[in-house]
Amino acid sequence: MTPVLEMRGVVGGYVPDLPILHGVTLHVNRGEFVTIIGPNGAGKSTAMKAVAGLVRISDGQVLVDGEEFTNHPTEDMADLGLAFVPQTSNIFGTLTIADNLRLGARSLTKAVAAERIEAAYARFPILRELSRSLAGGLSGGQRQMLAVARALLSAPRIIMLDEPSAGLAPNIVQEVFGLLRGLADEGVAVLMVEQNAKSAMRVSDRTYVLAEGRSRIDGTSEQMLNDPEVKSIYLGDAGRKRT
Amino acid sequence: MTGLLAYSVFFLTIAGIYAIIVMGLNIQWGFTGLFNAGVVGFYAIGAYTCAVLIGPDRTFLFGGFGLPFAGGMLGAVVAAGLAGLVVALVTLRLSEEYLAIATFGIGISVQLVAINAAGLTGGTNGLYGLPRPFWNLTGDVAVFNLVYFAFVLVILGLIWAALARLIRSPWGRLLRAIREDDVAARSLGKSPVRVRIQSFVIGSGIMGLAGALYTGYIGFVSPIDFIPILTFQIWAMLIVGGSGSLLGGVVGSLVIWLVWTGSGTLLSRVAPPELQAQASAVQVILIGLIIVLTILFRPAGLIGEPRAVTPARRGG
Amino acid sequence: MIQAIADGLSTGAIIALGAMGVTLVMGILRFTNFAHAEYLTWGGYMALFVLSATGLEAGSLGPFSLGPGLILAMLVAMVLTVALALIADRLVFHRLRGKVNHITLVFASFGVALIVRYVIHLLFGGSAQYYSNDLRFAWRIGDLASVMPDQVLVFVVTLVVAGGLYTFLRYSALGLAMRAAAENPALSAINGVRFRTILLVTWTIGGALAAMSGVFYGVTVQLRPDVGFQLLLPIFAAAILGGIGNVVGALAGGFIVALVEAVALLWIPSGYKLAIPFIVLLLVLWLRPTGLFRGTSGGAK
Repeated sequence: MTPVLEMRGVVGGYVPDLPILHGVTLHVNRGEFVTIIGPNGAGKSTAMKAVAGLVRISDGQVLVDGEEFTNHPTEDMADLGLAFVPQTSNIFGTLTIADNLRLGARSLTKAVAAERIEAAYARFPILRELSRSLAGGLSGGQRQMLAVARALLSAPRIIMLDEPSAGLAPNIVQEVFGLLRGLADEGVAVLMVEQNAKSAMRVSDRTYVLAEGRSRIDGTSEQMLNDPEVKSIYLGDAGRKRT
Repeated sequence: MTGLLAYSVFFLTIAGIYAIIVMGLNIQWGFTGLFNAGVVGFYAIGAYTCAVLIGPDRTFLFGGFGLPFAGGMLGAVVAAGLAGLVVALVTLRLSEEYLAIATFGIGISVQLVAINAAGLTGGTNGLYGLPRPFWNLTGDVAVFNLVYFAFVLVILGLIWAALARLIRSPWGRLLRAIREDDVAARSLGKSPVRVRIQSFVIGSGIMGLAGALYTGYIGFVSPIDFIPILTFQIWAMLIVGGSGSLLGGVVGSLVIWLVWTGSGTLLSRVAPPELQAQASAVQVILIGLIIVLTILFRPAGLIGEPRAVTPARRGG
Repeated sequence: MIQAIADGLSTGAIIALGAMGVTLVMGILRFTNFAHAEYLTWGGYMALFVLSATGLEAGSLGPFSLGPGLILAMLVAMVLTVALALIADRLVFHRLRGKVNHITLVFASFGVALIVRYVIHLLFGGSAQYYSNDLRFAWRIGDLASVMPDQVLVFVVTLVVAGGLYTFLRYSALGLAMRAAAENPALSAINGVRFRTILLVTWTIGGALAAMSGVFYGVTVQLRPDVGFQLLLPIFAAAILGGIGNVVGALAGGFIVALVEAVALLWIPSGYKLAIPFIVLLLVLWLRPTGLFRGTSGGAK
């Protein structure tokens, strides 16, 4: 089976001569929920940005459904079925919630857009209540909901999320993770970077450990949770507390 | 002295004065990354301040204090520095483009004062009959020109040496750190705004000093000596030579002043009399083209630091 | 006083048209374009060029000098000014964007401004020109003031244009994309907003408004190559006063700057006219740098 998303030995960074990624290899299959964990500065966020075309790839390949996607323009991503929720500034604070959603649905026909926005409101009733207020006024959890809701409007094949649990209360984290699990079960490929490693591994299918810009260890989340090396190095208190 | 030699001395003296202005701009832009779109204003403030301080007493004018030339020079530095301080205080804590807009406004406002405040500046007639230093010592135009040229060279050399020292000092390193990365400099516990203000004021003061030298040389100031295009001639000198390089600034001053006077002479010979006004437009277009093309294709200028004109920001 | 206010309103409209373009370019493209004021001059002269090249009369419409010929010429001038804005972007600004710090881009815009202003000087000469030599009669408002019909027209058209622009930004899909790009370019790209489209639309609006402003200046005052140079400070003062990216703010800012100027000139010698917007600008930067109408740095409303 061809993975929906595949990274092969990806090397790259913000500045040409200073790569942050030194060879990231991973894949996500249809309907699979994959987590990336690793220490701070390992290049987890950078790996996602490389897929999104926000970081220049100097070597290696990104494939989407087996097709070349290396250094693809960010602007085409949405139309090709890739959604990305960055860690910070992932909503438009100066726009209303309704406008944030309108923006996420901009490439859809009017009828489909209305239908999906309705579905998003059904999933997150609080967004409907606040639809006319500015998104900048939302709480952390509500922002994350809006960001995810907006990303889902285009009905993506792949959704990438950079630390969706950051700054959220534990019960909301479980809610967000549960939502992602549900998406994967519906057939979407979900790729998530998380500091909150243990909880993330409990809901996901497979896990990659990234360190110093390289894919180090990978396996099913269950194996990894019990792997002594992963346990001692990445799931210790030191690894979890760092932000 | 033959005509050509006399002209050469005049040409080089003016180029030397411009090179001093370029030094002031180099401190601001080359070393600190501060944009000054009103260079001519600070230069004019220096020239007029000097003229008011050293000029003879006249009933219809304010000023005419008859101070010695050194007093005029000092006053010019202080006045231009103060003007720089006011602009810097208002704009330097804000985004960089506001400094560009505000300095542009200073350039225009100074010109308005020069034209309109006749009681202080002599209006469109300007201030004339000003004493020239070394004149009494020499009494001969040719000798005066040579002496004054040497004087300008000495001042230029002193400023050059002082700036070279300054940029190697810890303060100078801090300047460059701020130009490259505001946040990093702040983490060193230094206030970037304060250092920027200091740099801007020093640069403005140097421009004012150049103005005083001009007054002393010509013995006459009027608004037409301070037309807005001068700002961009100075800018062209800086970036063609290479911003961030003191030597580059001097080389650029010579090159651009040569291009300016050369193209002027050429155009006035080639263009028919009825098109003379249009011909001078070509000169300005040339300056505009030099600026744009240098930024696009040779950002380091002839000699400058490779990254000086265009310090790239990480992550775009 | 009443006369000063009446004159201020038509000058304010001209400043506002320039300021609305500047504020959009500053808010959305994050670029302080000092060549923008020269686009006004260019627009004014292009209309003159169209009239003289086609031999059309500016004509008149009732009491207004904006006749069919001049309206046609203005439309062509708008297209030619958008073309100039796009060419300057392609040849200069686009090559620098993202590669150099943004103040170098500002510097380049000064270079472009010099080139544009003096090319106009070269092509059309330095003396004042008019679209039409017909005499117009002023309307008297009681004994208080007299206004030219054209001044009223300029004021009204500007309000209509500003209303249209506001509606476009507020309600259209493209306007939404522009507001999104203004706040967060990376996130809007992730959402599929194309920067090239935003760039094109922003310059089109800015260039078209600039040309309109230049023609209005030519109609109510006169055309000179230094029109843009004279209007640069008022335009930026209005844009900053209104809050960067805020179109309605820029409109209000234009009127405020012009009214302050008109009223101040009752006491201040007219030679200092150009310094007044500069003083307004310094006061705004000193007291309220975000503008009176809560501009979002990098935002569009």
